[in-house]
Amino acid sequence: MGKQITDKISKDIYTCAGCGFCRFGCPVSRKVGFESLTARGRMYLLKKVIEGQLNYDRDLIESFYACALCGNCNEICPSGVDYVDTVSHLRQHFVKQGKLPESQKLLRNNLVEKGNPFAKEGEERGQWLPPKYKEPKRNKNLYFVGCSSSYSSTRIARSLIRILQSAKFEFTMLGNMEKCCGDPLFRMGEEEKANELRKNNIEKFDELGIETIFASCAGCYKTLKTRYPQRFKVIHATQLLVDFFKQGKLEFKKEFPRKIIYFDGCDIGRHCKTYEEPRNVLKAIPGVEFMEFDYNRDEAICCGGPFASSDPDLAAEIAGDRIREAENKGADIIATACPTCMVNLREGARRIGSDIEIQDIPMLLPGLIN
Amino acid sequence: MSVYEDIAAIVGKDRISDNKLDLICYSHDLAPLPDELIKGFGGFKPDIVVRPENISQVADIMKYANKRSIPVTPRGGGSWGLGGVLPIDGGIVIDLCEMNRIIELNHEDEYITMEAGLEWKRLLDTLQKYGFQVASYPTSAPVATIGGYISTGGSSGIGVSCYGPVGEQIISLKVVLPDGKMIQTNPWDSWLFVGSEGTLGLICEVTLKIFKRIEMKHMLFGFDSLAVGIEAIVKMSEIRPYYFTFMDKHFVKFLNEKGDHFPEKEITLAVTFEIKERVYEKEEDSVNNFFNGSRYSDEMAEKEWKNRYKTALSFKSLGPTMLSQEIRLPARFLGKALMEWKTVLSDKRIAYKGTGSDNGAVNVLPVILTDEREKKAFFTATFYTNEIARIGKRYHGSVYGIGLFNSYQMGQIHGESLDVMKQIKRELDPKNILNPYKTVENRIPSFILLFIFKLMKHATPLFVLLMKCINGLSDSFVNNTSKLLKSRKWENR
Repeated sequence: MGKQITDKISKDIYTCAGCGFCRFGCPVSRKVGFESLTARGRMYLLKKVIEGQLNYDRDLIESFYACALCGNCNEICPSGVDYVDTVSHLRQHFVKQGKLPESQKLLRNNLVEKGNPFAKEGEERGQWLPPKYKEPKRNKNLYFVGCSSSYSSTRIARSLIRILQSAKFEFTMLGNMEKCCGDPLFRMGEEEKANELRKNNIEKFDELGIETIFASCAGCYKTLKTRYPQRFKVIHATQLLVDFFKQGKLEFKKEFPRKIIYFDGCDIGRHCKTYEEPRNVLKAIPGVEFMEFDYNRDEAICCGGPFASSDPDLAAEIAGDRIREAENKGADIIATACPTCMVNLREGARRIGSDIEIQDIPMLLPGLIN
Repeated sequence: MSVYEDIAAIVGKDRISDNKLDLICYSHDLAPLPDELIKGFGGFKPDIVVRPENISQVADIMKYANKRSIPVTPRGGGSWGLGGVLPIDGGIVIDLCEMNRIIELNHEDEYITMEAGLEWKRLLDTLQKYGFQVASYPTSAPVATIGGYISTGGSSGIGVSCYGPVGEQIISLKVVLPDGKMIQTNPWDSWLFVGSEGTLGLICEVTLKIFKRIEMKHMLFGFDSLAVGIEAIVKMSEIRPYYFTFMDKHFVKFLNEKGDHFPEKEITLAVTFEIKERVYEKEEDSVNNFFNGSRYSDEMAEKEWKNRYKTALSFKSLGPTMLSQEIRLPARFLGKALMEWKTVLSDKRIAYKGTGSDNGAVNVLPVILTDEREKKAFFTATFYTNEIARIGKRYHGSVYGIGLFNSYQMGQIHGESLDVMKQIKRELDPKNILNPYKTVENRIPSFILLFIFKLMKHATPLFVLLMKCINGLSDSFVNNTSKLLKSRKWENR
């Protein structure tokens, strides 16, 4: 047994009873099914490693990367075992040993070389920004856009900027200076490289005198909140919006008679326990019939988004199941508070030929407010 | 073509695995067994795991396996702890969890037909949406499958004290027999397969009675006196509310160590009534009169109900290993049995929980906290599971379920009817391929196993030595015997 298994993790491994409650809401288990890809399966395999009957070979390492870290198993586990921590910890160990699986390498290299997952150039990051926000200025408030909304889903960010301008809210943005928050690297166990990105961002925050950071991306929100210094107050864009509607800074001018179902992303939901604000924004829209997934809030089932780069077919298949659930409920629109969920759910819908609309919350609002 | 390829042709290549990691994962269930003992049994690794999609694939696999005499072990959620899902002879494990569709929910005639791999929680959640409920279900509902609960007897769980075991709710089963033939049962012959622990057929589709949801009332009581607490439990077994469960002082103490805040009384009793007019009021009155003064707040009662799936394992980290042996016995003997357990097994690391069962019985779950990494303590704890059963039997109790690990007790439990059961098994499964050496058969004679158990506790070094010898021999001896037993040559794929 190596040093890679700390006392806490060893305790968790032996605490896991193997009861299998963790399979209930596991997106991978529900799709693939075989036991080696369940939380209890991995814990049992680790026990065999401790007992010297198994090595960290390629298959075993791959199994540890076939986890979305969505945290559903943590919530349902009757014995309080922290699987997310165990898997994260083991991944760090694999990275230190130079055993990062091939499936992760492209994403890793893109992030390390270009500071974003899409291998785009840093100068393209802020290309689409309105002139006012192109250059970072001193301000207490910062909108951290994140890679997805900077490069591929810019409509989320453009919508949010419009809304915030209507609310006469002053803030600044990092533009081309912004780099990935580090989330994908933290997830794959690349702490060192993730910290380099983090350091770059923190320096910029300090230069601009930032106190409050808001993010529209759930992954950035989680990472900024849990991995960055506590001196920055981190909130999700929907938390900001809820306040603006409450204070009357924003008002709806139009009815929107549609059935909207809210999808709890794992990063904003289970990992940050921000369940109500996104719902409250949607519920405030006049004419909206608000709906819930059967399994929501801490029971919500992941869309598969974390696999979008390493196993796109699996990611889309898992998303397809969520799409069907929403369709069965009779929803017109699935609203997300995370670009990763939005993009992946759209891919899932495309593959099963569903015409359900999938929109991130900020995208729904500009036409409805002043 | 190899066996692997043949089976893959039936189920598709995504639904079959012989990956080393999967084979390890399918070689255990909830019970942590000493490694020495596992090797003594000859190991439990399957050669192939399949996850069929529908009943006709299951039938095709069985036809194929029967023709080639390949052992087949069915598996549901794998949340039992008696080794019922362990492939003692290797071969094929059929993981039925992929078969989890609801086929028909009939509102008018109030029944539901589904595939047997569906988890109970998902069934309950679906029924709730339409305003229905089932009569009884297991406390392991998030993982236990419909078929698994039926196969393992279905008389320990929620609703059993009021509505009886799950067998009474069955309208029909679709079962694949060991030769691959599919049959559909009526409510009465379904009983043949209830509690057969996957030795007579694979339950693939199930039709259950359902009914309109009834509101429930949850209550929680604490008793300073063990005698009064036991009296209350016996009373409950007569009134037969929808559900009742009790915990002793140690159990509550352990719960509190993990953050609960129950008063640590000798007996804590949670009762759930269905609010049917007339009956309920009468029952509530009688309960309230009887339990005068010891009732906790409604919030505490509701919280306990909400945690009903989790309670049993919630303090496992204190072990971190937890062993158990569920005993079913008439409630009126509970007091005496509990006293003797507590006297003989005077270990502070044992706590008792129980639930109401049918026919005035209770299922008692003594849980033993230990640490499998400390061999001596772990062996002693393993020995205790045997003692729990022995004492239970003195008070007309019996182990709840046999599977593999309780197989040495099957003679005591079934008495002379064991021969009849063996005959039925032979008739349906002449080649002994379906879940062999479980439930009605025993590969290792009972007296040897009992001897090993005693060695484990009283002469640990001797036990370790003996097991080492068996393991040493096992490479030649066990493999040879299993090859002889198999004489099946199918593994040369």
